[in-house]
Amino acid sequence: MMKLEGGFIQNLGRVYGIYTLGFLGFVILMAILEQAGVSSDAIGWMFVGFTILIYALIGVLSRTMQSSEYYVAGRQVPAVFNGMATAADWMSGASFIAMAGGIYLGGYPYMAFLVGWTGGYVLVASLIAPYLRKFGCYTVPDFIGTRYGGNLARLCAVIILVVASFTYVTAQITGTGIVASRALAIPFEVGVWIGLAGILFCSMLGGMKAVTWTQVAQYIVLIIAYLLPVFWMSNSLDYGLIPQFAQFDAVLRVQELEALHQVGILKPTAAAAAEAGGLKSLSVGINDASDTLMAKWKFFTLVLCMMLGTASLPHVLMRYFTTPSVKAARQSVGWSLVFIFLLYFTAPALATFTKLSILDPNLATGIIGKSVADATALDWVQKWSNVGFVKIIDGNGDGILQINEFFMKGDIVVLATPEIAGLPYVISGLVAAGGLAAAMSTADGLLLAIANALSHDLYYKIIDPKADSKTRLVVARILLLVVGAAAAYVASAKLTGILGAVAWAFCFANSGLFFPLVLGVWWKRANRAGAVAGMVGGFASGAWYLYMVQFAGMTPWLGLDGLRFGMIGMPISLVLMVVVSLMTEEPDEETQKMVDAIRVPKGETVTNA
Amino acid sequence: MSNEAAGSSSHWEKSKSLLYITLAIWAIFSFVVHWFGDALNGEAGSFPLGYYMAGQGSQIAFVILVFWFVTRQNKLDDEHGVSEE
Repeated sequence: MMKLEGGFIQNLGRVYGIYTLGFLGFVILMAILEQAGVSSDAIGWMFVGFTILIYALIGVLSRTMQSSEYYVAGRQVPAVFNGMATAADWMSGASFIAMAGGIYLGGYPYMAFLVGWTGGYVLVASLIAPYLRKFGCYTVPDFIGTRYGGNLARLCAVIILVVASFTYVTAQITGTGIVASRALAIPFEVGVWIGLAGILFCSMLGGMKAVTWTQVAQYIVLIIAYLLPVFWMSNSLDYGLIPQFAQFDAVLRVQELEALHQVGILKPTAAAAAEAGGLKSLSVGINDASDTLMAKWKFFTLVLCMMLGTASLPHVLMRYFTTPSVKAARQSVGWSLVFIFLLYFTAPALATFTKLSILDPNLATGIIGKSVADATALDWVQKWSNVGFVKIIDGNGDGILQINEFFMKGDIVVLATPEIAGLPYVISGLVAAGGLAAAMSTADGLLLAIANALSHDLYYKIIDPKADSKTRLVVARILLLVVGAAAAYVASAKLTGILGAVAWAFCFANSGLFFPLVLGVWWKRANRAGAVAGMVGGFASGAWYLYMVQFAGMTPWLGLDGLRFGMIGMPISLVLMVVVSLMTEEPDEETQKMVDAIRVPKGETVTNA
Repeated sequence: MSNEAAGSSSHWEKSKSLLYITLAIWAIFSFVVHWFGDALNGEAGSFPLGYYMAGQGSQIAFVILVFWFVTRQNKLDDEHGVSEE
């Protein structure tokens, strides 16, 4: 088995090369079937069914009974492949489905997410990941618990991890349910449980090892699915070969069209807005970078919260525990960013070209400024109206569709764009498979982060340190099942919207974990009392502020809304951690030596959990 | 032993300097550039530089910055004899 395993690692390039060709072949086969008259429902089924089957197969083939394989994939994942796995782990259903729509409806201010979710990796590479790899822990709370000592510090880290990751994972399982229910034409609640079954197949038998190899496979599917329609649109609209570079001429054209259609001037009537419910009409220009201090402050604070959240989310950090060396961990952060960048720098292009397709009256696809009767007769408008993603309300009754009469959910920018631009249905099937891959891969990583922290840190390190490795692995799997079921239950009860919950996870993580992690490496004087004060104070104050702003109707301070509550938690965490550390005794010599040891790549790992 | 300790303490000093430079460049592309997003956009009809930096420019800068940092840190480790192997 060991020998086979080595063979697999050596042949990764070939294995995933064949896989990619096989997937492209599958897409072509589907295109041929569509031409031959196979129904779009059947094609949707095959896309979703085939890809879930492949992931589950990889998961089953990667089953293991060794704890180092279960927790850290045997620490033999090469930098480039770990980069792909991290990118899939990182890019969630929200990145895939909701981001381009957010840019479409939100314009310039929304792009703070793009900056925050990429720049955070500079911090991961320089401040944290290589040092945690040298430390040699299995989980993020494992580092906190060993560096600061004592069960209390470990327990605080476990609690913050569970809250942040659970908030996040329900959103992913919701995303899985949305895509599965659309593509398979089944009720949302059933889609959620089918999605969960697929996710557990990928992770239960093989833990981190299985999740790693399915995430690489999922990355390949999701990036092809995201890029293909955008390239197609850019070329068919004649803006250029490479959409990411061609989009800026289109931005200028969109600005002309916005003036023509009076975007931002025409607002929906109160009655229409009420009838539209959660759907929105376009009321913000594509590039309105405001010169007000408040707008600049909001951009700045959102970027900061997302970046420091990136550098403290355990399901991302633990991916760097799987590389063969400290050097590989560092390089792997670079590769992660490259693979993430491929999608993130495409999102604005997708938003722009979709906007152009809808707004430009010279294009066959343009609907704004044309007759309401023609627009409502379009296939895609009917289809997405039926599921409540699109609504046309002729507020002034003139029979012409104005910009303030077309209401939509941001998600259609990704999900419906192939149809809006008139691409064949096979592309829609591909996009559904991509969205599913994005949501499943992130859910996998998050569920594993939660279950591993509970099994390794809570059960093994705190409750039963004498448990043998077989018992621990059984406990780990039971916990995975329980946490997964709990998340699916919350998702099926529709308790969260996709993006609100995602941004909250970042703020929970940065309020509670950022400074204890960073100062644990960079400040030898940081001690247990300081770390506990920082974790508890930061997390509690952030959570309190979120509650007050989001649910208790408090007016936000300085425009810091529920997406930015890390701006309250982080400074409190930092100040408490520094002040309490300085007021109490400095860490013992053994701890100081441990910090010295993690600061150089050479030598044995610090723990051998 | 004392040599090794001295070697690794200068290694850490240099690692810190590298970190400060990295964070300074990071801060420019994370915060400073976008603070002036409206000014960078310029006149109507000219290239939307503010939009470009938020949608693409900063991301490219981060990719280059991470690989630059990794190369420098690896070299630093090699020079001080503290890299693996």
